[in-house]
Amino acid sequence: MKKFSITLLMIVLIVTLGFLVFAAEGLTFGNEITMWDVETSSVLGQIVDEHAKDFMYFNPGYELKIVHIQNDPYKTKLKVAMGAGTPPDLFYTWGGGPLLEYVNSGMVEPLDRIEGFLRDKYIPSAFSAVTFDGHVYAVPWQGLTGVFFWYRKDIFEKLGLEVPKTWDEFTEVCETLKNNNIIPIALAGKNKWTESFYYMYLADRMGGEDAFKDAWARKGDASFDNQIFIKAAEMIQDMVKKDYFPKGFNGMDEDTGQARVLLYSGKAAMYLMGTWFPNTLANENPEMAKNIDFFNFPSVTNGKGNPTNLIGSAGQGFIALTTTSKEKIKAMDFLRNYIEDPVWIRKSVESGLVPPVKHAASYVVDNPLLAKIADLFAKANHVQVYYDQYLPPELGEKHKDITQQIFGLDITPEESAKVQEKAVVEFLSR
Amino acid sequence: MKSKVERHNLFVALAFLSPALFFYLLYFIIPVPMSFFYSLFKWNGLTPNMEFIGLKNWNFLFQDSIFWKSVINNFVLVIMSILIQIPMGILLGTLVSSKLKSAKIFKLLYFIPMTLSAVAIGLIWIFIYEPNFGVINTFLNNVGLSNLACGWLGDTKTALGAVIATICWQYIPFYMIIFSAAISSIPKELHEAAYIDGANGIQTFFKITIPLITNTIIMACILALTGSLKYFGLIYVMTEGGPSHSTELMAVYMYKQSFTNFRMGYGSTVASFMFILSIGLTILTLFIGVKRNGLNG
Repeated sequence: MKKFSITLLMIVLIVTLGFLVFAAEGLTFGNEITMWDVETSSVLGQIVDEHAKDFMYFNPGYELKIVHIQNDPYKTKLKVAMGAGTPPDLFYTWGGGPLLEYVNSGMVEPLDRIEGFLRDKYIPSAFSAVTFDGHVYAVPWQGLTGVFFWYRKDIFEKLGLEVPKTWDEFTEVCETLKNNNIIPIALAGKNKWTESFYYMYLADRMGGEDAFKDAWARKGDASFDNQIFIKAAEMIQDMVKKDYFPKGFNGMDEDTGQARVLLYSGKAAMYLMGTWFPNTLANENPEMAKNIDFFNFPSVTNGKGNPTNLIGSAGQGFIALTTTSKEKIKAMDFLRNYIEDPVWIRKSVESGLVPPVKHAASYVVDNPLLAKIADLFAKANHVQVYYDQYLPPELGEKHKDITQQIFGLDITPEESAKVQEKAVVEFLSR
Repeated sequence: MKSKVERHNLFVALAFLSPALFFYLLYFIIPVPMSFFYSLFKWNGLTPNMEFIGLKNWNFLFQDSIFWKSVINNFVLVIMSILIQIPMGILLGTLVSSKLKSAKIFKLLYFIPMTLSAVAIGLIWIFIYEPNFGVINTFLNNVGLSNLACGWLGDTKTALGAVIATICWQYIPFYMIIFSAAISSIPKELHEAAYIDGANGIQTFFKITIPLITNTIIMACILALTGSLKYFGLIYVMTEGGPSHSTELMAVYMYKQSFTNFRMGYGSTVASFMFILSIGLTILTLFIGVKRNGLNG
């Protein structure tokens, strides 16, 4: 009997202890602010880490925990945390449809308290992707991002190639590269958004910025199955059939750098990617930087689109605050005073980003690459936000699925346009 | 007096079982009816407001061609797993339980894949299959078989096969251990008697080893069946179901619907369907096993 009582006592003790440990996990001692971002491979990650240290130095008693998570897994991790009601205090977002989903669910705190300050600091278009119902929900931090063709200057020089301005010149460049046993364009298609760039640009060059806008707004007889989108898909399949992309690109992974490696090693000569690329380059392969330059997506014969149009956004990455945060005021302090302060901006520029702040030009004068980006942005007739970030998540995914099928030659151009249109009609009717 | 001791034992057993039972109920049993419940709603998984839509999700499920493609892929995976993993497991199990001195070393070597996490295995194989620098294509190009080199994971024709090969690589060691344990429990006398009667190695293998491990084979088949039906890990790491849904599995599709597309209700529908299918097939397999071999336990 005695033995049994002791056993039972032990069990109760162990179970209680176990629960105590569980409970302690949930509690935060002191004042902790957690932030999630996706800067695993860029210099920006290091900049924010340093600023977190500064913040903690000047705000004793507060701990700012920055967690860098890989790009594509991050989207799911955040969704799960949001659904469970335990998101971090601050989180990285691309704005647009997915952020709106969180806003509508009451998970994101409007930044009204610091809005005036933010509007003073950043250029107006920096907020377009994160403003809903007149409230600003996030702070831009990554910089002006546009998608451009990056290319190996040394390879172009060796083969006597000129930067192409039109689609015909572009295909000529590709042919020359192919004949010299160089893959014309590096592309990793597993992630799908890398392929979406081509589709968005071709649709824009064919039909102008209104093609997408009107099709989504259901304006007049505009739709996703008109000639513009069919033609864009046709041109993509033409490129694929001519072997302008690496073999098996649909299985290659952008996150692990499988496309960049081709460019670095000289096996491929061009790479369509956002302006975060120089930042990655500075981190991964600084010696290569002198061999890399970029050009705008070429214009298309008989296309209605203005060739200065860009795919990208004035603020690519944003940081938003959750309503569940226990330290909202301190977190807003961090957003206001530590993100994109003069030191941050200088470091960003050094690492290859143009922050979307007013007077950015004064910081980039001695960096020709960034000056060129700032210039192209200034001259751009329109900046198109990525479809998959602009559209509601479900349709964004559908668009990327279809794009991957187009690249895989698993669907005809007409079919792809029809499927896209059907998905949009179905979504809007629900 | 005896009954008192028995009661004590029952108490102790309950006390030890209850924490595990609590978590088992909370995380494994209760979610099943919950999924069926959620499948009747349109819900994004974030907000508390769920819109009741009856059987609309189920209706949509039966018309969803991508989902049916994932079901077919799942069955391909089940069949290939049983046809490849189990025979290979038996073969390796027999080899490593032989009396050879080096058998232990091989047992250890072959077991290594089992100790790696799915993500690590996935990343290793992504680079093995890499079309430009990967081991496989480099090898093929260097021995003059470059026409066989292809973009393994990027081609809709080869992607599923390539992923299944990796899954087999991951799980064969597991079956190897199960079978080597089963084989070493066969009394030595039987093999010795067969040897005296003049049976050769192949005959003893088919007439003694195989019949005596039938129960283990059936159990392994059930494990392979249920494991493959809910398979997720390597596919998600290596292809995310792509390209063009050619490696889509039910579990991956469920995950993407629930967590990428914000369609928790529809994701729950897929999960519920998976549950019905797995339970049905498992019961069927068990039933056939019992009927044919009087499987006990």
